[in-house]
Amino acid sequence: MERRTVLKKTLAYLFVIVTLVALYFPVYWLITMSLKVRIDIMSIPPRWLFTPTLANFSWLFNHYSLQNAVITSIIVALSATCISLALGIPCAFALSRFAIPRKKDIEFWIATTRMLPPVAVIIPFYFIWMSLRLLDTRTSLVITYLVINLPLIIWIMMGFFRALPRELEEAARVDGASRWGSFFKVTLPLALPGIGASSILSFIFNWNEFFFAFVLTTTNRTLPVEVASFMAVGLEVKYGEMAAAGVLASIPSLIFAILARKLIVTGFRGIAGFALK
Amino acid sequence: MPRVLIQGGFMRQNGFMTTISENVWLMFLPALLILILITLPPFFYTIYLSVHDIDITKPYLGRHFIGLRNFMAIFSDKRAVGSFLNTGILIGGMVAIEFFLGLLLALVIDSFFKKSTWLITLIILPMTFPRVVVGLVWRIMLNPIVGIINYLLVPFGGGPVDWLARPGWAMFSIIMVDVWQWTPFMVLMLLAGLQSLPKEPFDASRVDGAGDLHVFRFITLPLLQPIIVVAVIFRLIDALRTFDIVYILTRGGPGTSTETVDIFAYYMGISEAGRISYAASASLIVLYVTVVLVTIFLRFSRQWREELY
Repeated sequence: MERRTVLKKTLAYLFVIVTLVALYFPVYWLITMSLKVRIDIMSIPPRWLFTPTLANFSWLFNHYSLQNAVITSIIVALSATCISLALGIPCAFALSRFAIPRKKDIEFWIATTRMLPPVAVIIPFYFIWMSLRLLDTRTSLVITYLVINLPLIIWIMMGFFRALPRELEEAARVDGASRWGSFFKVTLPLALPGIGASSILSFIFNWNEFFFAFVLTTTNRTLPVEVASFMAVGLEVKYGEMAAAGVLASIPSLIFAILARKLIVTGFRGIAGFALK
Repeated sequence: MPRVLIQGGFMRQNGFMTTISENVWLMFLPALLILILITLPPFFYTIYLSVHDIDITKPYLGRHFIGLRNFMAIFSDKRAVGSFLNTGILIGGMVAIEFFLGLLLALVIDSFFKKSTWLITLIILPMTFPRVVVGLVWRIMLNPIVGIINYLLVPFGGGPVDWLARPGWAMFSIIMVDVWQWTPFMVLMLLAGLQSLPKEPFDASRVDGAGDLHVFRFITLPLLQPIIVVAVIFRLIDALRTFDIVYILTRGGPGTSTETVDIFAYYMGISEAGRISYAASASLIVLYVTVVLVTIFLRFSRQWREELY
C-alpha cells in the first residue's frame, strides 16, 4: 500500500477511536458510578478498580418512591405511542394515497406542529389543564404528548406508504376487498417496518421527555423528572443512587435502540426527510 | 360529511374518477381534529395572554387589554433580552460545532468505514439516552472537586475549572454536553446525504488527478450544500428547546448568565413570578423565530427534493 494511504487510514482509525472514547466515557462513568459505594465515588484520584455493589439499586427500590415513577413513565409512554399510532397511521395512509382537497397545506401544517417549541404552548397548557382539573394527571401528560407524537408518526408513515406499490392494494380491491379491508390485510403488513420505526422512535421520545412532564406534574412524575429531583434530596447529593436511577431510566430506550438500530436510522432520516419523499 | 368529487384515489393510474368516501374522511380526520384541538387553543390562548396584563399572584388587579406593551417591555428588559442572546449564543455554538464535527466524522465514515453498520449503531446510541440522565452524568463529571474532568485535565496543564459556576465556562459546558449528544444526528444526516450523491463527478475528477481537498471543496461541498442547509436548520429548530440540559446543569445560572428563553418563561410564568402574560409574550417571540426557521427549512428542503428527483 502507498504510504499516504496508510497514513490516512491510521488517522481515520485514530479519529474514530477518539470519538468513540469521548462518546462512551460518560456512559461508562454512569454505569460504574451506579455500582460504587459512596467512598469510591468521591475518591480523587478515582478508583478505576473497585468492588462492584448493587447497594445503590437496592436502596432505590427500598427507600425511594420509584415504583410510581416507573409505572407513570410506562403508562404515559405506551398510551401516547399507541393512541398516536391508531390515529396517525390511517391519517398518513389517507394523505399518501388519496386526493384530498388542500392536501399540501394539511401536510405543511402537520409538519409545523412537530416544530412547535414546547415553551410556546406550555403556559396555556398549564392553565388549561388546571382549569379542567387535570393538572398533575397521567391523562393530561398523554394528551400533551400527542403534540409531539402525532406529527412524527404521520411523517414517517407517509414516507413508508409512498414507497409501497399501489398495485397490491388495487389487486385486493379488484378481488372485492373493501377500502379498510385492503388497508388492514395488504398495506399494514407491508408497512410493518415503518410502524416499528415510528413506534420505537415515539416511545423513546415519550420515555425521555422532560419539559412537559416537569412543568405539568408534581406527584405523578415520570422517571426523568424523578431522576432530576435527586439533585434536591436532602443536603448530601446521593450520587450513587442518582446514577443507579439514571441507569434504570436509560435502559428501555437503549434496548429498543439496539434492537431496532436499522429502523432508527431510517426513522431519523424520515424525520428530516419528511418533505423530501 | 361532504362527498367531494375529485380525480384521484386508488384508480388514478387508470384514469377513473372516484369519490372520496366517508371511509377516507374517517381515516384522516380524527388525527387532524386532535392535532387542531391540542395545538390551536393553546396557541390562541398564548396570544390572548400576551396582549393582556395578567399576574396570577395578584388576581385582584384583573385582566386588562394592553396591546403590544408586553412585547415592548420585553425588549427593554435586560434579563429578557439577555435570555434571547443566551439562546442565540447557545444554539449557534452548538449547531456550529456539531456541524463541523459531524461533517468530519461523516466524511471519515463514508471513505473508510462504509460497510460497518456497527459503527453507525455505536455512534447513534448516545442520542437515545434521556437528556436528564446525560445532564446529570456531566454535572457530576464537571464537579470542580470530585469531578473526573478536572482530574484528567490538570496533568495537561488545565487549571482546575469550576465549570458550571463561571458564566463563560457554564455556557461552554452546556454547549459541550449538547455537542456530545447531538453530533451523531449530524453524522447521520450528512452521511445519508453523502451516500445519495451521484458517483460520476467524483470519478471524473479523480481521473483528472484532483487531490482530496480539491474534490471536497469543489465537488463534495457544493453537491452536499442543500442537505447541509436542511440538516443545520433542522438542528437549529430542535436546539431551540434545550430546556432540560440547561436546567439540570445550571438552572440558568450563575446569575442569569445561561438563562435561555425557555428557562426565563418558566421562571416568569410558572415557577417564580406568576407573570404569565409576560412569559407568554416571550414564548410567542420564540414561536415567531421558529416559524421563520421552519419557512427557510421548507424552502431549502423543497429545493433539495427538486434537485434529487
